[in-house]
Amino acid sequence: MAEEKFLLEMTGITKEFPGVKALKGVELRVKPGEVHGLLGENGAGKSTMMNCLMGIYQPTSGKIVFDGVERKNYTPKESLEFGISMIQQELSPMQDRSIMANIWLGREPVNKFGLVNWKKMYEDTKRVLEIIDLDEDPKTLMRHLTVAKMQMVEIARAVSYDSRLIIMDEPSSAITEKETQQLFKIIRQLKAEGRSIIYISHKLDEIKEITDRVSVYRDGSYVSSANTDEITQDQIIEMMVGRSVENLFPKVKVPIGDVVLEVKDLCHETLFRNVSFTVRKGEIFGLNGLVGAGRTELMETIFGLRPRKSGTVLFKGKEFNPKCGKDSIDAGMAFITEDRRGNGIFPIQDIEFNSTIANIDTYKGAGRLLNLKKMQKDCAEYIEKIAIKTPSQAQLIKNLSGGNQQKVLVARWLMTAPDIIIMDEPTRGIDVGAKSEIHRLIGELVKEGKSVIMISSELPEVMGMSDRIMVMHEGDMMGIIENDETVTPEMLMELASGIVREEQ
Amino acid sequence: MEKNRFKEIAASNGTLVILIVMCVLVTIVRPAFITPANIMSILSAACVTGCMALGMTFVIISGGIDLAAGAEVAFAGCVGAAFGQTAEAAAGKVIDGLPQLPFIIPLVITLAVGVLVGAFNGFLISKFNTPPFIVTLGMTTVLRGATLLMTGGEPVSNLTPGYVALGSNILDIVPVAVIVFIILIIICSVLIRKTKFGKDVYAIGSNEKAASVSGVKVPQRKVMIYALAGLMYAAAGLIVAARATSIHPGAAQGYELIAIASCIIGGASPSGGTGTIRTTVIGALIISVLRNGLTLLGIESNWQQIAVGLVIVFACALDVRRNSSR
Repeated sequence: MAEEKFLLEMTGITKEFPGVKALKGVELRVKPGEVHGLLGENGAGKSTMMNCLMGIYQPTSGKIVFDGVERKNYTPKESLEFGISMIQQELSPMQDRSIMANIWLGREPVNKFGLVNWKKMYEDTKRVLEIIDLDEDPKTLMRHLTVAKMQMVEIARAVSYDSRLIIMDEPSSAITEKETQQLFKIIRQLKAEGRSIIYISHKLDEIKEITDRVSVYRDGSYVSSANTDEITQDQIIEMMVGRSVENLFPKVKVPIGDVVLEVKDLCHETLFRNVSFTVRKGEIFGLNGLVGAGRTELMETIFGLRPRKSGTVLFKGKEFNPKCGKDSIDAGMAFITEDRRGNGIFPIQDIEFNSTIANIDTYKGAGRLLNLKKMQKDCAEYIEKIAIKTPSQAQLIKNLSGGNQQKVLVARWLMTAPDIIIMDEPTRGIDVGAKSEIHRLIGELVKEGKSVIMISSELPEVMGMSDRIMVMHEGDMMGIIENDETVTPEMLMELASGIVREEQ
Repeated sequence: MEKNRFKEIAASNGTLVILIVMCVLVTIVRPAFITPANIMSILSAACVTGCMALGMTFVIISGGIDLAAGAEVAFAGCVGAAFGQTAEAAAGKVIDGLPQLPFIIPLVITLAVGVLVGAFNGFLISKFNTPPFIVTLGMTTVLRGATLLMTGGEPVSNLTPGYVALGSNILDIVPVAVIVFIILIIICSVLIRKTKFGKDVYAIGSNEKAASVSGVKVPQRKVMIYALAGLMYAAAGLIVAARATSIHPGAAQGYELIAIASCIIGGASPSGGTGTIRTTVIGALIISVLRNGLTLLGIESNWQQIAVGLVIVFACALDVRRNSSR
């Protein structure tokens, strides 16, 4: 035990923000050549801990030893130099610059005149991209890549840094299963070279598959660590939430009513064609497909955020042709978008603002002035109702964890009292606890007679929650199937990957 | 505990504290600062750029910028004044043979011109998705040129008694313009805090895409934001014309920068989403007090300009620090 060597030892780490104690004496020990899973619900302190490790935050107290040397007061740049790199959960590449410019940012190879050696940069990039099997020209602009490919570039960048320790913050949350397997291949390759990986994920099957050891945090405190093969998924969940979660997908059977939404031969200029489906009252309509299938774009078109080329939509029996989000909201449609930071939250505004903005029309009182008291009251009610963890409703939403931000967005749309709610990847990047709460909420919504369209890439979620499932592949509708006992993950995967098509 | 509370209040009202400290310091050195007459002159000096800053606050919160503000003041002011010249002003009359009209006509025309020009800016910005910086930069030149064409480069003078009244003092001490300024402050403050329009402005400035998903009609709102700003600039144009009973086509040159500075010093972020009318007014007063104080201290105006510039840079640096410490 005494000679057990660690690459990284973080002990007694605390971090205080004004009014919040984000970390309370947390520890983390990572051995060389180990894939270490980091687990905990949103707000458990994983991201804060990693930010402390990267030098983005300075811990209030505690000790960090990396590679046998105690490290203090360092910057993110210094941590990169001594061998730690991190792949952030939310990517923020330079959209208008090339893949290679992004990878070699700040350390571009130079020739003897001190000018950038583009040729070497190009060759080096090609080599790195080959390692991770990404078939793109190094000169391609980031803007033209899908989210999945942008992430692969980030991974390529970390690989190019030659780091001893690579932190991956939910790397699989935006990529397909195939790409995840590709990622695992690279992780195993890196591990074989003696590098260590800290792997943060909410997907327990992935944790079981790829990690050697796990550490679990809860509410800013350290719970415990264990070898992955000596612990079951249920035990991990119990450690994370401090209680056992019986049913991940509490689908309640509710009577299905009349057709609420009818989409006929809807076409977009380029992104999807001839999509037809109906959604009924009290139904959860699942929408599955791989990244790039056109699911989000289809929903944006129905909601009026994109122009349609042809086709009709009937909503509550009436022709529905919204020109903007406002038209859809007024008609009784809600849309919880996938890209929380891109088109969901107003980061620098408080929770009250974020929760009431879509419903603001109803607060108009005398002289068209807003009833601010009622806004406060409603916000407080929803914080209570869907258990948003926050010190106050005046807290800026950007200071909340991902799961709590998502809950605020759910509150925003529930306040509009919609008849149909489109949820695009409602539980992406959310921990087990928050996830089951969102699922419970969806169940309650349909019980109240509302309809839900749920886009999800996660097969267990789609299969656990939906009444019917529509599968799309590259803009084509592959089929709609009744979600009964005969449905298997393989069936859905075959449809989603375009191998087979359901007969109409 | 008490000390912490004081710190908290000071931190959240930083600009107000700076304003008060400035006033106290100047008063210690030059007691004449605190006389009613001098206070009125500070307020009066803040009126024109202050009104502009009110409009600019909406623009900046929405994540935009309006470089055409000064040119709009002159354009709206001159167009309106052309309808407000006395009948006997034969020489230098913009519209030949126009009889003397009641003040309400030039008043409405000035404000309408401001609204229309602003709405046009907003239309260009939202319709063609052009950066506000570029649109308003171009519009500055367009408006200055149009103003010169219309006036032949001469001031529009001999304005009617209505203008004279607007430029006068009540009871010989309180300028009418200050009263107008205060009324506009109240209106703008209510608009931004207590209406859907105000919330939409914040929404657009903090995340435009999220705003349109959440039901904000972004293009329409942008037209309204710049139109409202134009209205405030036109009000400033009226005050400029009223004070001298004459308005020069080159009036309000560079005033847009003071208006922008007032917002930023007050704490509005140039990247949008933050700012309030209250802090903008404090920002405007800080600039006015600084100028007045330096004059009382006998510092010449060229140095004052340098001082104001430094305050703006300092305020922006403070803004960056404020945001990064969050």
